[in-house]
Amino acid sequence: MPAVSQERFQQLAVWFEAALRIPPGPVRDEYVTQVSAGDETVREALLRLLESDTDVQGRASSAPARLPRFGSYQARGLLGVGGMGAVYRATREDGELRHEVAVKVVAGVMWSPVLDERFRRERQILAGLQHPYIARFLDGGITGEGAPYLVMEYVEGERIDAWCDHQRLTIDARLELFLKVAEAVSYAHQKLIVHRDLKPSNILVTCGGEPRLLDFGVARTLQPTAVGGDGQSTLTPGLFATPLYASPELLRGENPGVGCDVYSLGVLLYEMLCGRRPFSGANLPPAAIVEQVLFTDAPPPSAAVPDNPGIDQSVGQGVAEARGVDHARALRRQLQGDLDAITAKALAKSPADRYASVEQFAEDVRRYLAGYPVQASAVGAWQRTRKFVARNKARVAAVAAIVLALIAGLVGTTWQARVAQQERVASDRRFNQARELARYLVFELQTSVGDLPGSTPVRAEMVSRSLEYLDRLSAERSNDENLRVELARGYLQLADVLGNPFWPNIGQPARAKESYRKAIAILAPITAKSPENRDARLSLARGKLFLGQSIGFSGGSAEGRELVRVATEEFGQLAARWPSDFATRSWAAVAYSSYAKSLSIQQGYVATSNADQALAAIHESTGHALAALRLKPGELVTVRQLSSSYKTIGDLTELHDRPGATEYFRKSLAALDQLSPQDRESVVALGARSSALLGLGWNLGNLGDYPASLRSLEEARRIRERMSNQDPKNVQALYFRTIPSRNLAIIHGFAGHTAESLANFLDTAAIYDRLLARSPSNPTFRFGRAEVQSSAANLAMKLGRSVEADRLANAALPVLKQIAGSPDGSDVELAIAARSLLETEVRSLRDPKLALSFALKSSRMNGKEAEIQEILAEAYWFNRDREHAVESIQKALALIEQTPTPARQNFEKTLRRYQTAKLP
Amino acid sequence: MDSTANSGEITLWLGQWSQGDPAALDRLAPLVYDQLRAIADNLLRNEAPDHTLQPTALVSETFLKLLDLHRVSLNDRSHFFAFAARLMRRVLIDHARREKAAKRSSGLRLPLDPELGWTGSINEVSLDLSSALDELESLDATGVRALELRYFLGCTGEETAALLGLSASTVDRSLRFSLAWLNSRLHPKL
Repeated sequence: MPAVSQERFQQLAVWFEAALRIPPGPVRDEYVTQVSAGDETVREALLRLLESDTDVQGRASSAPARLPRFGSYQARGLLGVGGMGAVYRATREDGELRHEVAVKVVAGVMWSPVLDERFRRERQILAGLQHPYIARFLDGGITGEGAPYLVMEYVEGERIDAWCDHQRLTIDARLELFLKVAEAVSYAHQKLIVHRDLKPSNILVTCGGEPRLLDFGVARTLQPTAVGGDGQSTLTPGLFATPLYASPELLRGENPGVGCDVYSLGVLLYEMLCGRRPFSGANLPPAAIVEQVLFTDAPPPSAAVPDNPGIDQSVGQGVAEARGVDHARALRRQLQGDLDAITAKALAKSPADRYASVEQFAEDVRRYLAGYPVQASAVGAWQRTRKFVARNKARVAAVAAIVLALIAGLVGTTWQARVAQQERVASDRRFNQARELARYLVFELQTSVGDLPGSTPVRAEMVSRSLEYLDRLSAERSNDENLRVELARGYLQLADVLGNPFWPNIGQPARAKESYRKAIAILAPITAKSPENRDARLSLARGKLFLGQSIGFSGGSAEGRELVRVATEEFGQLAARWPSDFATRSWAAVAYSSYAKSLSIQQGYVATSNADQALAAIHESTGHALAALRLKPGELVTVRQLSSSYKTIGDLTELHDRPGATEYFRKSLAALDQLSPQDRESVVALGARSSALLGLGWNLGNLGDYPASLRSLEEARRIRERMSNQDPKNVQALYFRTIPSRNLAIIHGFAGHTAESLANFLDTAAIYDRLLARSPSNPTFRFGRAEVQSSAANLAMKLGRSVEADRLANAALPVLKQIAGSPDGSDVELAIAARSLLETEVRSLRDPKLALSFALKSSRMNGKEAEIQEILAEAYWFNRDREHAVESIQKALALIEQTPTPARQNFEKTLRRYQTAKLP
Repeated sequence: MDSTANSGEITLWLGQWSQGDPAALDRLAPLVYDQLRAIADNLLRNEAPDHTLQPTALVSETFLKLLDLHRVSLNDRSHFFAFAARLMRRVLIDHARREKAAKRSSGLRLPLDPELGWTGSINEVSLDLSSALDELESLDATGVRALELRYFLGCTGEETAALLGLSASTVDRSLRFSLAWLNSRLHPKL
């Protein structure tokens, strides 16, 4: 054959295919002559291709194979190989009548004598299934190699879809044929047998035009309940099972009922009507099909008839002609209305919305044929589907569904065409595969899915579903300690997703706590029995730590703090027992840091009361982090923990020793240098770096080293700006930008750079504008903007821009008053509002009385903050109460660091002023 | 695939190859060649085809190992299968070449699938087969992909269709034409 162009090749393929429909002989040759239109090379090429095809097909059917025996049946040929095993054509060899049968054998099933009894029972049920449209069950047994097989009547026939097309059955004739299929399914349902795997390849039509359903009950019979053992096994699609005919609940692995067959019959009818499957969009990978079956509504069959101009139209034409209709459009019209409605009702996502039985389904088809109104209403059914879709998040769920199907395939049956020769080995392998896959889903996939926005609920679903599998596996091998530990770790992961306050979670703290407690309950006896089981003990301590943190966040903080303390103690012991285990050390670092925070952080600010205890704990944390990093240099999460712990030390030290704190902020920054260049650019590291820079910048600014302070804050500002730009939808990232901006404004103010300070305050206000555009009533954002506007107003006045100052102050002060004055007003809000009311340069807005009441309330709420005392002093002063003003500023001086920092010097200056100056 | 570093690389090259970078196949091949080679060898050595593991199953297993090392996403699955099929094609044809070079007429057993008729004489025609496949690929790349999956990897028709995201009937038609074309190419005087 000469070389051909791509176009010619495609054209040849089309003609070839068309010619194949004509039996070999003069008619076919005539067709070839016609289409080649005098072009001899085309004619020759086509004829040779057809000849070659005859050759190939002929050889295929005569290919030799060594075929197995099944009891008294000898296999004569292989009919097909599928995910579950193989189907052979076989004959009975005991000298009697030569009897053709089909033998279905399952490869690689975990078989055991226990299952034997059930298999026998199932076979009896199948033997009772006698219906003209159902292929008869004849026999069954177990091969010498332990593989179960079923012997069925051998049916010679054509797949129902192909048969309908070849016979050019009209829509009505198709419906009649469909009713026969439905009758058979309905009969089986009366015998309490569900098919669960109805698809065209399981429905053959004999030359007499009668349907024969294959494989009834086979799915259930051939699938021993390897796990669970309650006879309620589900047939979940394995790796290769087609999701095209499976109902949503079957794909989800739920226990399938009658509704499952109703759905599959719906798909069959759909396809018989319009020549397409509901979900068969041209290039869909299986995952996308699963996603569609679960969450998308198929177009009504009338709309699925191809009718777009171009190739589509000719396909549609073919579909119509195969149904004895002239045009695609005419076919569409015929399907519109009742037939659309009937299929929609059969294909409803929820079994409750479908026909309650196959009989009802059939009844509606009969009503249509008789011209009576049908029960299904078109509008209603498709609308229900849409509503269902709207309620569901589809995307990531599809991934989960597939992986779950994989696991289920391993747990329930087998997806490998593996002969059960090495049965025990296979059983162990499959067990381990299922376990590893469940573990993969719990521990790995959910972490990677975790990066996807909005994926948290799906992760929760994934984890809880795979836990079911782990639970089942664990029940099967209850003395497998490692498996129990894995199960517990699964519960920990689930709890984290449900409601770990430090992780992205779906906000279900109560269920999270329950799950933590479950993990603890599984682990406690194991650790008591095997104190050397490090994994178990680590997991137990982690469970307590996070349970404590969860409790701490939902009230009852004493119990929560106690659990955190106990967990931290356990981590300390573990680290002493396994000092060179990285995970132990790394977790210990996290635990001590959490403990320190539980001691020191109250209502969001650093408390001074437990500072010493907290400092001791946080030093422990850095010790463990450093030890961990000696074992795994540069490990990102631990480096971040180290950096964060140093910063916490800085924060705690700053309370009494500002110059001493500088060193820790620098260490916090320097810790990040041990990261690889790649990790340094990670979100985690950049976040940590900006925090360290903020701490350092604020500290240096308060110590009077303005150039260094401004450099640090500038860099923090740039990092956070970049992070926010990279994640424009992240409100928190945008909010984090306000902090360096505001601090820059304040330190510029300290340094006397009025214009720069104003510019930065205005920048900060602009960021708040963007935040408020997204959540207009958020009090934190409103207050934050008002605060910077109030400061900006004073600076604007100083620069002689009085109109601007007026505008800013008039926008700011009412908001400050309102939020600070509300019952929820915090100490910091009250203090800030008080200061603004005292110091605003827009004199008409000053209100010393209100300021004093705010300041008093603030200092009652928090008597340990020097700055609040200073504001209270100022409030007294403006209310002309020299005595209390002096008393308060002295209190502030006692609280502030004792070294002569600019802040302290300021307070001292203020004290002298109150003592000597004239009252305002 | 024993080292996780390799798995990361596999994902990378798999991605590039599926994006149409043919050079990626060469970078990818050495990383899993041994595994697939073992699968092919096992297939070629074994006397009783109905008792051997299907290459599909073994490739699934190989893929699961990748999954297990969690460097490969599930989305890569069909790419991986297509890739494995392509590699099997290489392995099997290389094998046939070697057999031919060694002048052994032991009869290469290559019925990857009992329905495959034209492979009976693959020994003599293996070189032609290779170039015929290349030629076919330039005319119908998807068709060759289907051939590889179906006959070199032993996928069923439905699996092939699912992996390629095509309907089974499209795949059937395409395979039948490709086979007829290849057969006429390999036996010009038929």
